[in-house]
Amino acid sequence: MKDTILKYAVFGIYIIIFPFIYIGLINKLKNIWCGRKGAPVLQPIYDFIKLLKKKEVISSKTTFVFFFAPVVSFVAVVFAALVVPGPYGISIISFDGDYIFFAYLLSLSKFVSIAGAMDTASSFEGMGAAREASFTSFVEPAYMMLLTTIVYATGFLSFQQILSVIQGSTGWSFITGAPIIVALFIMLLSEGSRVPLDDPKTHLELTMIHEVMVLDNSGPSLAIINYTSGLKMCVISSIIASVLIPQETVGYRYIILFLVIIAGCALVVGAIESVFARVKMSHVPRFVFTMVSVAIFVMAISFLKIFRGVI
Amino acid sequence: MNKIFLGAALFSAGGILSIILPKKILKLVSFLFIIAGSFIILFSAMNYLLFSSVTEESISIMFSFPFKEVLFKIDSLSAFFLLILSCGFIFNSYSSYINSAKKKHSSRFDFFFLSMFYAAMILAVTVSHSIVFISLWEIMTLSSFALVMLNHSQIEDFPFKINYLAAMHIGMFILLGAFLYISADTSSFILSAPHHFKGIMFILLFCGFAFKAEFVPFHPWAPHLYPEMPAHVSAAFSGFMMKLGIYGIMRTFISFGEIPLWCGYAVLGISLATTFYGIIFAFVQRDIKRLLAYSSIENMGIIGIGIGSGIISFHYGYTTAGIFSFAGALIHALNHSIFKPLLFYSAEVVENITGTRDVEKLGGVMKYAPVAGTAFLVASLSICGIPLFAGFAGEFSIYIGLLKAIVKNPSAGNVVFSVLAISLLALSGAIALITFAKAFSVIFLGEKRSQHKFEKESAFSYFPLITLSLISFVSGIFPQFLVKLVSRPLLDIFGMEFYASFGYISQLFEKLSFVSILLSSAILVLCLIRYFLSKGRIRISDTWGCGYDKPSSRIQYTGFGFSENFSSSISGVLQQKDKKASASGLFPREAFFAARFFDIFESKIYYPMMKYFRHALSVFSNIQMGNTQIYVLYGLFFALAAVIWIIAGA
Repeated sequence: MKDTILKYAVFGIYIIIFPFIYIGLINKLKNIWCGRKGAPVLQPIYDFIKLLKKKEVISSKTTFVFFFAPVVSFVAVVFAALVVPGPYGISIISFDGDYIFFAYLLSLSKFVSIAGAMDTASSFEGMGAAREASFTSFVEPAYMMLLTTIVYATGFLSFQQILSVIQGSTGWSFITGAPIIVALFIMLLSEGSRVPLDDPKTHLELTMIHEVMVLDNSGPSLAIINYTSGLKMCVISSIIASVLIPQETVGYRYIILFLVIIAGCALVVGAIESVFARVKMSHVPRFVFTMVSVAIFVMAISFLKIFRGVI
Repeated sequence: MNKIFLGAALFSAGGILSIILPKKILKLVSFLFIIAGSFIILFSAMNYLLFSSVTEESISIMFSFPFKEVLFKIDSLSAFFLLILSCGFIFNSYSSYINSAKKKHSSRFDFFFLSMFYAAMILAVTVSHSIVFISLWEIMTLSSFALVMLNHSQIEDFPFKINYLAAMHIGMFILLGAFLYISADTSSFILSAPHHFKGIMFILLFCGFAFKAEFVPFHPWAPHLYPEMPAHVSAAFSGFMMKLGIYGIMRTFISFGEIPLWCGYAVLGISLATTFYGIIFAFVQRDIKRLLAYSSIENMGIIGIGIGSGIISFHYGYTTAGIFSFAGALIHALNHSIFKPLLFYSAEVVENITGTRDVEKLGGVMKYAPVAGTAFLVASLSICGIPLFAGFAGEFSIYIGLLKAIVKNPSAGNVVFSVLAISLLALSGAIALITFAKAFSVIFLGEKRSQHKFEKESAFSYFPLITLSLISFVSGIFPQFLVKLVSRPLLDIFGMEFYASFGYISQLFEKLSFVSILLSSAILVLCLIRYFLSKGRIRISDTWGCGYDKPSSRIQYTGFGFSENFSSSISGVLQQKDKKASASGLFPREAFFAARFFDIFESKIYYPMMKYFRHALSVFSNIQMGNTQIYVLYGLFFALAAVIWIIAGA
């Protein structure tokens, strides 16, 4: 009982605090990289509180879809977070095929954010929605393909079981671990709308993708949207962390290692943003397709594992 | 079984009364007859599926010469499809009633043919005599064709309607050929596995049914036909008539028992092509109903994937995987006949109040038709397979079926095929998401893009919209109920020893239902919180215009603009033909841009083939002189040949 409460408490704290720290870390690293001092890591929390206190301006052209879209998107991502193994190494909700449920929750979040953007009758937001729709639509099939090949190799159907097998120290998990992480990282960058797919700091509407979709959101709804986007990145980083952590780690060590890896992911995102320019718009699908080639690689290695028993 | 007959008799009675009765009351009377019949069939099908312990109810009728003994029976598969049909008929006939009440000059034959259509569908599901089945199939085709023609408005569309009739008859003749071969081989008119050519016969029957179910190479009649029909006819086509194609495929599989493995792969391959092809063409359409037609094709593909992978799993003996796949196919068939009619009904409302189906001229309809808009939203979320709504359960079950097959049977061929199937299913899901996100937001959100005058929606259309939306929400929240509905057919088909697999499925879906309840209540609570907290803290203003303070509704993204990004990345499959005149010179004149997308099968295969046929068959035009005397001479020649043949034979 005590254990369960602890589990939920750790998880709760993690999903409340860490999305802010995640974005704070990215911004801090980017600032230091270009020679500025930068805002404190906890700045996103202050921004969040400030935005929550503000009044909201809503366009007269919108309907209830615009009004509720940020909330629905937020809840969908929170439930996606519940499915993925958290800082305790255990998912709050786990059932066979939950990784499919995860993908469809992200779809729900995407649907409502596209609808919310289109609701404002603004050409900018329509443009952002169209770009978001077309660039991220390859992510879901690539993710499904990747996870399915992992299911094939491990024989399990739920996130928690799959990841606990990957954490084991077999030859297969050593060989495939790195490519899987690369693929998940691409998913992280595209779902989180970061460089090299999208630049959150761009200030020209014509070059924006995700940022331009939320031009008309202000006050509390903008706060929720910012938090949701941080949470989305955190959730995908949790998958990466669960892949990386060795099976033997338990207890508080697991939590510490987990949080360190999440922070590490944030720093890598920040570093990529500092050194890379974003790719040409038309090249984004190709970038995302890297995930497919990783999936095929994992499938090939798994064939070796299952038929030859080599690894 | 008696009740089913009673229901069908009520349909027919309603139809016949609609011819006899005076015009004022005929619609109401035949509508009431249809409703009564539907409810009787609905309750007896429900009762059969959930509570009854009888395995089969049958009535046999003796006919004289051509048919001999004709057996009408309901087993659990029939009952399941009866449930789909009768539940849909209630809303469909209501929509038809409303539609005909609005029109001044509606024909009295409208209800007659509608009732015939319904009655033929109901009886086709229950009959187990192949020739009677073909006759009912033909009644179905002809009555639906009559419905199409009654609502005929433009002469240009006439070839497409004839196209439908022709396609249905090609399908019918394929079925007839296969049925005749099988009955000759087994010397019985009850469908069962032939001794020879089992696989080929299965594929032939599959193709015959695929004409109705719009699988991909057989689909081109649909996208042209749907836009011109009123919503209740298109909903009846997409929601119910296509399901009879699925019923036929399932029935063939069950009757054949063991079929060769390659048939399973063929079904899976065709279905994958159907799914992908349907959705990418749905994505680029600008006519709402044509978009829905292509999306129906996609959904039939999804059902076909379930059936195909089920067949493969059963061949290998992986029952859990097979049950999941078949359960997914049946659940998706049921869900599709809920949300697709819903989409058609709300599209009809849009068409009625705006006078156009062209997505690019719409926009902001939500303010004029909030109920239809919300219904369209619910149906879109369902069709995208979003958890919480109908549509997720079926796709999820198909996914699990494919995954279980991968885990159980790690042979390279199976894995590659299944991984490909899963990825294509996911890709189609992703494209479906942006298709419907686009359709919903371009039609209902934003501002209107044209000078059309929009009216308010009428309260008469609320009943099917609200009820069907609620049904899709409830069946999304409680998917275990759907599992209960399909458990009886699948257990009857595959034997009681798989009961354990069903325990696992319902357990999984109960968990899913629990999560869905949590998710929906979380969304509800947070939305309420947002609503109450933001009261009095909102300032209404214009959309941010980047410094310009007089925005025009013409600057909004259009449907084509929205899809252009993505459609250019799959331009290999889409045949896009642009027509444009760009502005040039110091005083540029008019500039325009138009893009059209052509169905590849139509423009690259069917049209050239037809051209060739027309050329080849023109030889026979020499025989046709137009002179009666010559025709009599032909008859004499024929009689002479027959006599010689008989004498030579003796």
